[in-house]
Amino acid sequence: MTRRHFKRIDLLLSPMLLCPVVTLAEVNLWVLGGTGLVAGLLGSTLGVGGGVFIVPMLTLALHLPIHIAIGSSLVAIVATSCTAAGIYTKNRLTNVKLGLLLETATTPGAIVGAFIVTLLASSALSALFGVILIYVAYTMITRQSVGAEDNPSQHSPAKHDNASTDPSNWLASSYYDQNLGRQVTYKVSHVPQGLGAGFLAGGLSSLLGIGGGIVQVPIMNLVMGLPMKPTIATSSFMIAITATVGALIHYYHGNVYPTMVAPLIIGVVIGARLGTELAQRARGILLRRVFGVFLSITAVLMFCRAASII
Amino acid sequence: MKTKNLTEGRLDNRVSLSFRLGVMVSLALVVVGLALVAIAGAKDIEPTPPLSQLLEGILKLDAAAIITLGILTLLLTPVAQVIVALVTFSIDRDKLYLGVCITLLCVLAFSLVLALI
Repeated sequence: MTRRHFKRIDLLLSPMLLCPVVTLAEVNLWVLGGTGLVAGLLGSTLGVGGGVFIVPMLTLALHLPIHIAIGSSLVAIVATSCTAAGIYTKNRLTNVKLGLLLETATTPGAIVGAFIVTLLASSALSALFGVILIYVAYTMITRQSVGAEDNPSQHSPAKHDNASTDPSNWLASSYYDQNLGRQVTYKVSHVPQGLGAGFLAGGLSSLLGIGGGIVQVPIMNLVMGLPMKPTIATSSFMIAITATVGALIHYYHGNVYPTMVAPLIIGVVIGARLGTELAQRARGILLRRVFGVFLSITAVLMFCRAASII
Repeated sequence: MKTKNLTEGRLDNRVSLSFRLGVMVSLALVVVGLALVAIAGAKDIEPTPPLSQLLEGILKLDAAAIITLGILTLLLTPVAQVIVALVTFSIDRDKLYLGVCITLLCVLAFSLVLALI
């Protein structure tokens, strides 16, 4: 690791560099709670962490130091994904086995990404990632059908019964779709490719400082063929595990400020409860298109970062 | 829902229950802590107290200590899910996923140690 790398980590983690002392009177707790509510709603509806929204809001609108913003954001992401995963799993939308399996690839990817972060020019990488996001967003918005959710002919409980004895379908599952009013059975294809892509996703999230959901959701939906709702639910389950490591590290380095995080957690939990209701009632294709729009906005942010605008 | 097999259903129930329980306990502690902040009035925002002072702070009804306990409960909830899954797979003698859970716990511990040293 180079000296530049250590310097960046110091800037991010050291509370010594903090800044002016912030008092509670200076921070509007209602704005913090509102930020949490929007982030929780967005994160749980789309299966992402919501850090893309929280960090700019805390730094640009509330003028908080970046290390407090990142520490607070990670705790809020854990709160969003735990709330969403609890509800989605209760309603049988989460593919827990798939989530656990993909996590074994994503987390090592994140470790490798953290080590090679200094070897690559982050601005070029951000621009390249922005281009990839535009392509993925276009695919998600324009593709008519992925998996069984939008194609009633694929619904066949008998297929699932066979799947349990067929080793190639050991991750197959089913869920009740509130919007369609019926049980939807789906298979999970391209598992090795999904694991490889998960490794890359973990690496990219370390390299670019983005949440895993932005990469995991398209992989599970477009590559592995999961319908959008189990994709969102499984992504929430995975983010809970991934973000916890980052949050614990920031906690250890003293970047989590309890009285600052408290209103965020309350807002996030309320927002995530609303978001899970929305996601379960919405059409799968609508969720995919909204996610495509969200990816496009993230791509623009990546281009801005590449141009050093933000 | 009916087509999910019994093992999957049991796993879902346990994971879901522990997620919801973790969030509920954490939220309750955070709300109590924030209420104490409101009663005490505005002061400087400080980082989480060290673990050695946490119990003392909680016994003194210190708002920051109570919120910190809520945050720690929240942060340990996802790790608890992996342990819940590990126990479930172990009871069901599902060696493949038992291996997946053990690998995942090792990877999480490794990444945490690597980041902290």
